[in-house]
Amino acid sequence: MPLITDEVAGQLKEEFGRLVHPVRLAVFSQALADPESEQVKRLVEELANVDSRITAESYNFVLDKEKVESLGIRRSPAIAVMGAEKDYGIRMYGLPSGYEFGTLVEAILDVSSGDSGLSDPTRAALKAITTPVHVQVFSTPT
Amino acid sequence: MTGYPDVAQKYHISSVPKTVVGETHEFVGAGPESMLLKHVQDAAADPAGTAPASGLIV
Repeated sequence: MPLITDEVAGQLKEEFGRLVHPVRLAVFSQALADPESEQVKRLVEELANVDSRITAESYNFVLDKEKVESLGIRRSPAIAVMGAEKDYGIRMYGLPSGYEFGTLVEAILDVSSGDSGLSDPTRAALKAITTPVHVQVFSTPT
Repeated sequence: MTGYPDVAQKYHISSVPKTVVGETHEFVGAGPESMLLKHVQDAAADPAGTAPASGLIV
């Protein structure tokens, strides 16, 4: 049974009408140690099936060490939401269920547009920062 | 959060949503864009606060 029902797929198709540039989703899971993480892999693969501008790449968190390191993946399951040419550093950890599924869809749309939605004064202030800053948002699945 | 108890413990996550900027700058709940910016600026200016483990911070 698919995780994304036909009804949800229909809504997603409409949402993804706003896609501008292609988006790559790299998903990291580990079937042996954490069978539940395979759900994230399935979800991402099903998402990619909804719109051809979204592509899914599946990796094993334990075996694909090189990819884990190059994308800075810290734990499993993980989804890296990246533009075709630019990685904005957006990573989602855990199963994006309930409200967090919407967050994933929003992240895809933001990356696709290349627009953070931040105001001009905020962008100007951020330009002045030269040190990398790690921002983490913690939530619980609903 | 419950999926990663070690991380939740490290950053003292007792209520969500909680935003942690760098290692020590944090706030709970939603806030205006200006507040997030202030935390990012403070973390950037705090040498102990950012400390990337390696190259790409994600």
